[in-house]
Amino acid sequence: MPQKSETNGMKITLYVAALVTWLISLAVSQSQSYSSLITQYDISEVSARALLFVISLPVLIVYFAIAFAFIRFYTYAVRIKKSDEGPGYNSLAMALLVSLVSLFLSSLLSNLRIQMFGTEDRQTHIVDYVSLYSQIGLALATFYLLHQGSKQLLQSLGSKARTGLGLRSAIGFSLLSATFVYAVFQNPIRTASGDPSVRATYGVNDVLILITVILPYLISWLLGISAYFNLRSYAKKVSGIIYKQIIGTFAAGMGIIIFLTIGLQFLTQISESFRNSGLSVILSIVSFILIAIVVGYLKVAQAAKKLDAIETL
Amino acid sequence: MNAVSKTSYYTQIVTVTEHYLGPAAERFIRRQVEFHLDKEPESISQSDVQKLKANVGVALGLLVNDKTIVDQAVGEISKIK
Repeated sequence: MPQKSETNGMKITLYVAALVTWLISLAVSQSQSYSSLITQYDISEVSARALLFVISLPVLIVYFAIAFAFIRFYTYAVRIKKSDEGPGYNSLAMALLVSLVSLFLSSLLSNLRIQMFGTEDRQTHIVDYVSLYSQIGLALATFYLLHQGSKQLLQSLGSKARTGLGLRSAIGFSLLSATFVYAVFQNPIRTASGDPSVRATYGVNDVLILITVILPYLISWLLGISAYFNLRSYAKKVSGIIYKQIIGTFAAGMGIIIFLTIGLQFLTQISESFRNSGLSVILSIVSFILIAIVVGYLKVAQAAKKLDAIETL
Repeated sequence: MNAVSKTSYYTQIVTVTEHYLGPAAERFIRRQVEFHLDKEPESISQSDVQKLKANVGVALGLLVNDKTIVDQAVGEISKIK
């Protein structure tokens, strides 16, 4: 069983890391970005600074929500590690941790870039490649762990995980993939930018974009969608009226997280298409997704709390 | 004969609880027996099962808001002979 002091230590470390990462991001954005906001959207300095703070706040809430969900989940996973379903919950907990690390790293690398080169620099640097590929790698790791965990949970029941998607899901995924590939290749500045005021999105050729960006994202999304269906299957097949209810909440939470994370990654990669849509559209979509993702993580934390209660009552 | 009966009380209460707590049932019952009765789970008697009934009811009541489910579980444990 996890010692309370260890859990408290982990809790403090993660929350402090979340706060520090957010504060760094806020400080950098306040110092660097408010003037470009004033120019781009014709607003006052106070409005620009307030806007940056408001934009940043959901990110802190997301950090705390993921940290909260991970700590609750990890505590439970360690408590039941010797059980048949222990390894599955452990993999799922690790997926939550990797997704949190991914967010921290993305923020820190973005701020490092701004500090090193300023907001006006439009060249592609090593830090851009590190940022891009670390995001892709960590997204793949997160969804792989989710898939592994969901598969291990099903196997604990003596069931096999699905090897493929159902017809509707396959059609949906095909449409998603086709839209994504089309949108990426429609981006005129994906490999290089002729405009010195605009940075190339990837800065590599199309073959590398296909192999190192598109394919990994599609594979990770496929793993994520498959993980969701495995978790739903586990929720249906597992015994126990009360246990099923709790797992149902958990599966719903994971479903929200998986599909909205896919949505966020999809939007991020095709964001060039939204460039001309205006600030309000972009903010609305991203804010909605962030709020909904928080709901997902809170559902997961709620389920983990009840699962842990079964082990401690 | 006695050894078989004593074992079956533990198995019976675990089986009933599995209907509510699924894979967590055995760990749950084992803990209730060890903590509340200070006994080896496999050595519980019928009277021990009835003592556990209240503890199981309270615990399930904390996990779920539906009193019907809790009453159903307690009712099924009462029937263990």
